[in-house]
Amino acid sequence: MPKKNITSYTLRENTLFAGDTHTTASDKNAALAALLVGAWQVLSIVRIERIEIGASKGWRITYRN
Amino acid sequence: MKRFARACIWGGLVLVLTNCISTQQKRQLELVAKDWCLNIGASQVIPVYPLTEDIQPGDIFLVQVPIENQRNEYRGRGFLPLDNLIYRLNPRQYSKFYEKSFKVGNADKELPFFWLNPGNKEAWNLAPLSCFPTYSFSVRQGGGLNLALPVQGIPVGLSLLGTNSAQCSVQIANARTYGIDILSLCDDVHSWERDNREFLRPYASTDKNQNYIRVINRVFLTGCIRITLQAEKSESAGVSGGIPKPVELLTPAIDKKEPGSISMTEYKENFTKMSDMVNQATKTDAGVTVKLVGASARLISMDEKFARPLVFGYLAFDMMIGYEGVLGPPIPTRAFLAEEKINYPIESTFQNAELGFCFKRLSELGEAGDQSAKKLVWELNKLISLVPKKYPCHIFGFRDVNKPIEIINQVDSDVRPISDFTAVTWYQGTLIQSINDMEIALKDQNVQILDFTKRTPDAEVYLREQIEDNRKALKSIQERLNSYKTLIRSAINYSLFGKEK
Repeated sequence: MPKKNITSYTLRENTLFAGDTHTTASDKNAALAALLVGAWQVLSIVRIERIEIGASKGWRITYRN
Repeated sequence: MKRFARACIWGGLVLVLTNCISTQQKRQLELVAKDWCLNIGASQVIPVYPLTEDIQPGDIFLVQVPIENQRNEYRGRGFLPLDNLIYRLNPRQYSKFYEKSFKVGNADKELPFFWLNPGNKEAWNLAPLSCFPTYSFSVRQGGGLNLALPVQGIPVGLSLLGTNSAQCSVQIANARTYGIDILSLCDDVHSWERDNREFLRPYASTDKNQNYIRVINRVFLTGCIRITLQAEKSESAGVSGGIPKPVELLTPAIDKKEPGSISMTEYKENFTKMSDMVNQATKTDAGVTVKLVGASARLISMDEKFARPLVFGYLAFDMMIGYEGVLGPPIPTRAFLAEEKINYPIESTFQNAELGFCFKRLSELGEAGDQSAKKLVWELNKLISLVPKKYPCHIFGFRDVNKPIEIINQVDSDVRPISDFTAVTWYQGTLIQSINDMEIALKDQNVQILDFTKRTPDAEVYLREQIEDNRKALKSIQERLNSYKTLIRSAINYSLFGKEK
């Protein structure tokens, strides 16, 4: 059985973190919306996480290059 | 020849004096009118001049005068001309607005008809009350005072007091008000706008000329103005050679009669006679009656009553006529007149997120077949030329939580090419986020700055410089966008409110 040439692709994922100290749900939504139609709108986003660690509050996205 | 020359000189003098007097009178009239308007204006109401019955909430006026000129006119004259009525909208939400407070009729008898209620003098008693402060000024006898001040009793009062100067106070009595909330009226205006886009389209604002519609949302009415005149100096005695001035008829000189003979009956009789005189002097066909309510030797008080309440002030909001005749958001007219610089929401809304959503919405509308939206998208896409090809500064950011702040894009590196208006919002958003992240790093001493091992003062200076560079780049694109403000304003308006009929 002939061996097939398998070309493997590695998905490169990167992260970005945007600090956001807002505390109310509506403010957090607004901040995230501003990012999604602003700095992050051209990124291929895989995941968005809300981080609440002490003073480091914000949004972390994972995107593909 | 000599006689002719003398006649010419005298004639000239007369002319000069006449002109001088009429100029003074005009000035006096203007000042009194302005004072009246300023008094109304001080109560946070825009004055109506002259008073009229025929202004109501929902009246839409076309305003083509630049806002700076309007401000100057308002400051100079105290009122705004209401001469370009384009439509009378009947607000539909009176019942809901006054649901728990005032009776407002029903569908057969809506406002203001329900309160006008012809034949019923008490009809306006159902309307909400309003109260205004008393207004005082000095007045001098002069032709046409009744023209300057929307009350005609003043010259009559001056004649009765036998003086040509008096201290006058005017009280707006029995004031009523009614109106409607801006939110519901705006809904009605937008419905009207959609049906009248063809009319509004030619008035679309440009970068040079801005046109508005002014919508009245509240009016203030009065049925009676109370005038009190106090003579500053009695002059008739000297002028008329001892003939008693009219007001003295009320209180005959004591030395001419026995003290006991000045009876109440006599006072009442004289008072009635004088009331008749006042009624005759002020009789008009307009249904205005002036009634004497009190008098003494140097003071006279009169009520000037109107057949039906007249509007003397109003509140309104302005909406800019934008691209394709689409109306902008409502801005209170008083804010327009008071502010040195209008913070027109849409104008400062080069708020990136709003622009981004606006473009997204317009693209959706365009794909659904809306031709106006398609045209706007096409025009907005042309603005991608505003985005530089290379970054003018370093773009900073955090790669992850609790990581140092670092350069995400180097200065002079290529800006990602994007073929539609998204390029603008993305580029602006990138700069905004970069500034935001650097400011966080600057505040939080625990945040490390890449390439700096410690938070030294040098590191902070470097960060501040980078923030400044980012701000300059952001300001630069915002200024370039500003030169397309009419297009952007129209695009936002259309994405929010617009829908072709």
